[in-house]
Amino acid sequence: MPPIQSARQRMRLTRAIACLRAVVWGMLLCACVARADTGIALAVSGAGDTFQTRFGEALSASLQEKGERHHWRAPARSELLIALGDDAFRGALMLQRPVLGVFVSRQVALDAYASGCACSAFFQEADPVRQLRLARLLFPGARRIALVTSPQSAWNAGLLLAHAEAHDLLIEHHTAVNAGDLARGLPRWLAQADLLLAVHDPELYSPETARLVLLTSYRQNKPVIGPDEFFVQAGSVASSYTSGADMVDQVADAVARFRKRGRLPPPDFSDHISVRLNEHVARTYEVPLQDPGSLAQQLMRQSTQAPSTQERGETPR
Amino acid sequence: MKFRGMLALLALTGNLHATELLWVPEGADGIPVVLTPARLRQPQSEVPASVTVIDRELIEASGARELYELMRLVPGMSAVKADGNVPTVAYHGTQARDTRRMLVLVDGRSVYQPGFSRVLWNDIPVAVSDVERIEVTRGPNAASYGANAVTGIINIITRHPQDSPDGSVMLRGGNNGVSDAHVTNTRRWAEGAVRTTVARRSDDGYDKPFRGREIRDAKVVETLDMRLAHDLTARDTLEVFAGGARSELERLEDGALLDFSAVYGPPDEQMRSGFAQLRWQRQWSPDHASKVQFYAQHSDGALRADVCPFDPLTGQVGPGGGLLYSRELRELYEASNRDVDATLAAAASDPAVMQRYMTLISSGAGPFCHRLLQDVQEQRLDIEIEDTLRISDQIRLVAGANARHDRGKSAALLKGRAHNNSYALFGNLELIPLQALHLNIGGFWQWDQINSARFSPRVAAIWRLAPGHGVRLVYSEAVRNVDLYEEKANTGLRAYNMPATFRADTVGLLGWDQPELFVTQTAEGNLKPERIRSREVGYFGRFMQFEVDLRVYEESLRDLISEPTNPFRFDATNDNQVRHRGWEAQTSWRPHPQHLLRGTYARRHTEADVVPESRLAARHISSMLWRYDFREGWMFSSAYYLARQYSSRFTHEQAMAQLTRRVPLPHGELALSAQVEHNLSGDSVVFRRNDYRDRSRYWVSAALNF
Repeated sequence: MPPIQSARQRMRLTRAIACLRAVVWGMLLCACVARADTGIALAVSGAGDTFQTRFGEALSASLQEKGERHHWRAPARSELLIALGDDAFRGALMLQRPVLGVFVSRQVALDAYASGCACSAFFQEADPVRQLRLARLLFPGARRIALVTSPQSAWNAGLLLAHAEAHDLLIEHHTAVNAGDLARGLPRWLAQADLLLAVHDPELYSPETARLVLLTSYRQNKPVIGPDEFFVQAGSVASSYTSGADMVDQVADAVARFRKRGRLPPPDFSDHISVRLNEHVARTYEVPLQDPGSLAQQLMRQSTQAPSTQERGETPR
Repeated sequence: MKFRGMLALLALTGNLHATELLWVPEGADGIPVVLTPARLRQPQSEVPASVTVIDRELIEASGARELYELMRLVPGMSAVKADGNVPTVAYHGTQARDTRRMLVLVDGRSVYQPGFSRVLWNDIPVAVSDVERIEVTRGPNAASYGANAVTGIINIITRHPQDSPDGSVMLRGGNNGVSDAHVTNTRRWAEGAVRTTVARRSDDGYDKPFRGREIRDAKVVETLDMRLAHDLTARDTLEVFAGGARSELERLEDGALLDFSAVYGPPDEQMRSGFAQLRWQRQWSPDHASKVQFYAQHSDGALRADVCPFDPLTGQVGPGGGLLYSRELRELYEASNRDVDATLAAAASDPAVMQRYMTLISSGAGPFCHRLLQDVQEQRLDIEIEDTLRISDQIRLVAGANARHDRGKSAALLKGRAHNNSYALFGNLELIPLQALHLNIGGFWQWDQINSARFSPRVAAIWRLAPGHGVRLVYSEAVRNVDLYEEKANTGLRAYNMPATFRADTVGLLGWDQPELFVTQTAEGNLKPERIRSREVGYFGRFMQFEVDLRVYEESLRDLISEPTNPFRFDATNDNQVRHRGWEAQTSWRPHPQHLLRGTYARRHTEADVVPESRLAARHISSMLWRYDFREGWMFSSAYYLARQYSSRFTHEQAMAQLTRRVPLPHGELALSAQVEHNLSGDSVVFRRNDYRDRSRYWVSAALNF
């Protein structure tokens, strides 16, 4: 290494380094100021353009209400990518960005979470425990709950059994592999129950089986709760569900938390829910007509009173 | 997973979330509105009557072998075998064999026999295992169902074929000659299913000898039942019902018969019956449904007995017994104003009769032994259209029309055929003028050739204290129509299978070619329908797992036809009346998911002006039932039934216990069951002769469902 030639040369070098430092600090300061102005960089992916646009607009409005600054970036440059649906969620994971899945199948979300992704999700399925609570609000006399699942949705039983035991309820869990199994077994299973808790399971509760499920339950005078708002319109008594607006609120909360704590909550069911009630069917079963909004509020209150997944020290549900 | 745009969404989901940001998972968008009658059905607290529902859970817990036994779970219902093999089921029953004043429907088809006003419980072709639910309306319900729903109506609803197991085989055996079996097969296809059941049951009836003689009341009943349901479209359902029964009953010798005959071939009764029924239902909209139903049914029964009449002079069996079937004695009977005693008293001094007697004695013929045959054929054709419409949330209307043709044929009781056509219009309007007040106004106008025009009204007001709680005030009237026999009876008991000597020269020996017993009865044809007027205050309430129904009532029955109307005595008049007052309660409580407790109690005070109308008037009738599903696949149930003061003195007190184990199999299940019934009171059942040799009856059964 050549020796330093003179004090003047050393002084120039020192000044240059100081200028460079000033420029760098200036740039950093500018960047920080810029960031403080525009908030977290978010992106939304998935779904049709209309839904995505409306969801993004609604989320912006909700975040602004909460005083959370944010701006929209391309997914690959975002700080938090909100993925709508399973396909978008899977695709988002490839971008190596923090991902918050929305309306994602529970199994898809948990698989990704278990593999160590920087991600979380709110499930598209309704919380079965909340559905059971709804059933109890509407039918306080119901003690024997028929639960029919396929092997793919048998996890619902695990969640329900613990809750049922604590509340002196009997969950009659039956497994049907397909719609044919359901058709043969449902009449017998319903005879031993006060109501049927239908869960999200496209194999068993689908447009093809709706008539079978609802007519069978009607013939036996056994109400059906769940699995979603579409079934309620078809003829089940009621269901809790997460509307797009509920999910917007849910995501806004999660974004705010992410901003504060720098991490996402574990995958879970949405805390923000709505309730849909089929008034005609409810009246037939002598359910006191209640405002669905008030029912949803009661359910959400019950959820906050109950220990959360994390507080219970459980793995995400 | 894919998403739908809002425009597409609105088109797909109709009014659901018209402006909401709605997530539509794949597949969820195609769920159709399932048009069930649920929207048109009344909750129990809004029904303008007292109703008892017996569902599958209770049916299983009751351990009932036969349909009639389920009726013991209904407060105020007498359900006993007044004769060892013929059940009597009557709500607020009065006469011991009275099933005339209550209507029984099976899947909307009346099994009330039109010709002779009776319900043949043995011959209802429905196995207990195929019953989905029984709804019993306690109190007159002619406003909805027409004549003959006088004291109440029993509506038996069989299991929908879609809800039946693919196959089932059951065998049951026990003491008292109990031997039952049934086989069920169900076929399914995309739009429907059909269930077919073949069943057989038999028992020995009351098997304790009475006054040294065996009681002849064993029975064998075989039934075939088919129900098919096919969804023609999402709105239209076609159902086909068909079936039949064949029963063989041992019968007791008729007291009147024993007065003048030796019975060498004890009486037996055979019954053959069949029916076919079509029902088309259309759900026009969630608030509008229509139904058209047609059915035809036929029954053919005969009571046979082989007898040898006593010689009226010697009192012994002999050719002189033929005198009772002679033309001359019939003529004397007619000349004696149809007074049997006067006829027999005058016979010895009547030259023509004595001439006939001498002819018989000197003929060298043996005893005049022959067969008596009491034949009855009944047919019904019935078509009905019904429309149910919810006009608004406050107004609901059920209206319809019915046309019916009833026909009876009997050589012994009608000397030929008789028929009756009837036409009816009916309507029931439910109004909700205030949220807590429901009004129900209905009526059934009916005209028929025998009874002319009759109107059965009902007015009810239900005050809904809260959802699931209703206090009701009900006023209703109903009629029991005069039947074909009461209107057109013309009895003539012919002698069949006569000895060869008598067959060879019937006219020469008996004076006519178709000899009949000299006693004959003819209806005067001036009877009026029996009438009932009922007032009740009731309450239905549901508190969590507890349900209660209370009924306080006063029922006044007038113009009753109470006296015997048989071939030996026909005293049909409208002279009698009965008044019931009392109260009833039924409760159901599930204190724990595995326990069900149910109880009923009925207290009745009956005022009747003739003894026959009080035979079945038990002052207290109660039942208790406990079902305990104590382990996976295990069920224990126990029941207690009490009816005090049948025939003013006999207490019917019975306890039952049943243990059932369901064993899962790879493609079905095996249900094993053991049951015991015990007569606690030790009293006879209604009549002195009705006793079991063993106070406990027990049986075991095995059913394979797959």
